[in-house]
Amino acid sequence: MNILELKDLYKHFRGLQVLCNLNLSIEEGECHAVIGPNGAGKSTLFNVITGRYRPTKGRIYFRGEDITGLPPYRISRKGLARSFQITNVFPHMTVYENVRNAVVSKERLRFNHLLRLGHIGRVAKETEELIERLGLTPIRNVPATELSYGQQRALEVGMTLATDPKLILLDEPTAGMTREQTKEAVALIKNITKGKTLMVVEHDMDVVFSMADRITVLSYGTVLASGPPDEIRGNDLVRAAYLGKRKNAPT
Amino acid sequence: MKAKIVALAACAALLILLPYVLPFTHLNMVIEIAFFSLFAVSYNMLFGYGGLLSFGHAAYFGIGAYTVAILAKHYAGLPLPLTLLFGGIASGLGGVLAGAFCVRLKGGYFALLTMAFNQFFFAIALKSRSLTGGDDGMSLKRPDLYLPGLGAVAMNNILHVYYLVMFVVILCISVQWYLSKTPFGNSVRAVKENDERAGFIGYNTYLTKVALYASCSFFAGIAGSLFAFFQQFVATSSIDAAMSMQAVFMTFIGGVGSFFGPILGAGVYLYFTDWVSRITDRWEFVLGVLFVLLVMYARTGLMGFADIDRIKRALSIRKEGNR
Repeated sequence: MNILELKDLYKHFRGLQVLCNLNLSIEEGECHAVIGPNGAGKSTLFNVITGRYRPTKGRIYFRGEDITGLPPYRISRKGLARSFQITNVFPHMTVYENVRNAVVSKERLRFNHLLRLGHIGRVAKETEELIERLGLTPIRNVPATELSYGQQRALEVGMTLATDPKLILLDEPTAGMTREQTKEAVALIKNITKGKTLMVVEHDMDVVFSMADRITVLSYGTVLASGPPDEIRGNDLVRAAYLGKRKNAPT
Repeated sequence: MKAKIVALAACAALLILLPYVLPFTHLNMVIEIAFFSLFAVSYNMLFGYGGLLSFGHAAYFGIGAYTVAILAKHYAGLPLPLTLLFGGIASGLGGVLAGAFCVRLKGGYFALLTMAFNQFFFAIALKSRSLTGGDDGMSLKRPDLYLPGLGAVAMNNILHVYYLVMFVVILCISVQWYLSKTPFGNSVRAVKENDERAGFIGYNTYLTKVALYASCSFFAGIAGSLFAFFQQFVATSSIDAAMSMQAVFMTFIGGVGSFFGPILGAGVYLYFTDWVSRITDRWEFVLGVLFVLLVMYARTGLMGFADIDRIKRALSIRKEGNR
């Protein structure tokens, strides 16, 4: 069964066509990487799926349910979470509070006026466990602004996971990292997302080929090719899009 | 924990004994400080905790005051606690109405729209002469309080007024303090910090802001109710822009975002204006200069001075800067 299905998706920005007749399905349990040259529409695709933008045309089905045009918070509550390319956390809250915000949301306690947040055992427990798994325990009381870049990225991904989503969209989780940091980040992501369905936008090909079960290549807002890594590696169209060869050039 | 209980008991004892120590003129001042504290605390919940800089908070203070005045005049048989509560509820409803529009905007635009709604409610109070007395204002008689088992408690006795106002104010401030500790209070902080991310992890930021706006309006309304009850007179000055500024002043003097700052701010503001106005008619000018200095050099208000760590940090940053 497909967890996410995109049907004939279009997105225009005042005449600029960013997504064009895009069809894609994500299978339950897979790690699906989306790659493509700059400007191919990867970030826009994420923004359309998660409700930041409304598609111009087309439908988005999440677990069989039409979620086209819903606001981000409704989509998040249905179990579709995302991380951001540019770190987007609660800057003046500590690591613990950042993660807790997501846990509170997952526990459906957002509007609770009666309990004291500090006294809700299951929230505290879950938050601590997650911080432990993220390896952030030593810095749990540090405000997010004072974290190093790598730690901020880990927090970014951690908050995305904390809502216990069915599908996780990661937007360039290793952007701006050194080789070493990237290795650590990939290991961390693999470890904490075991058994989850992932959709990842990534520029680092090593990361893509080490993580992905399937790869989709976007170019000019439409799907150029989609399949297992080996198939993509050998695909002429993909090489052309990346290396700038003419589409029908003889090989 | 034990120290906390002792401190609270000491505060309670002080407040209970205060009327027997203070001369009566000061008692009036203390009552005023009490309900303005509530007004300032409700403003601080909105601005300090929720990041919503409102320039129209007097609208809800005024709605509460007028509601109580009208009820006391036309429905004199209504029990006093209900009269005061209705003042708050009317303001809360006004808050839902205005908030539903205002919180769609951010920053300066939000501030402008709250101001516009303030003017809107002000104009209603000014023009509905038959109901509110227009710019002549309206007077009311303080209803007595009927307590089960005790009978009527006469409210022409300032001592009884003091205890009632103190009770209501402390109750309301405690409720707000508690709210700030609940998951909802946390949601308010999260939405202030980063409403986009809050949305992407499942928070309905719009509803959170409307709920905050309405609850702060409710408590401002209770403050207005007590104001009308105490003064026995309500005029448009309780709902005008100057009253909105008063909430801003008190909160800034005490310290934005610190829970107890606005209470201190209300006290200092009222005593200070009382003192300055005895020296010069131009007390508003003095106040204006003071506000400029506060915003420029002491944005954390008086509570900021009490925060030793912050001062140390500020000093160390300055030293590093000099190197």
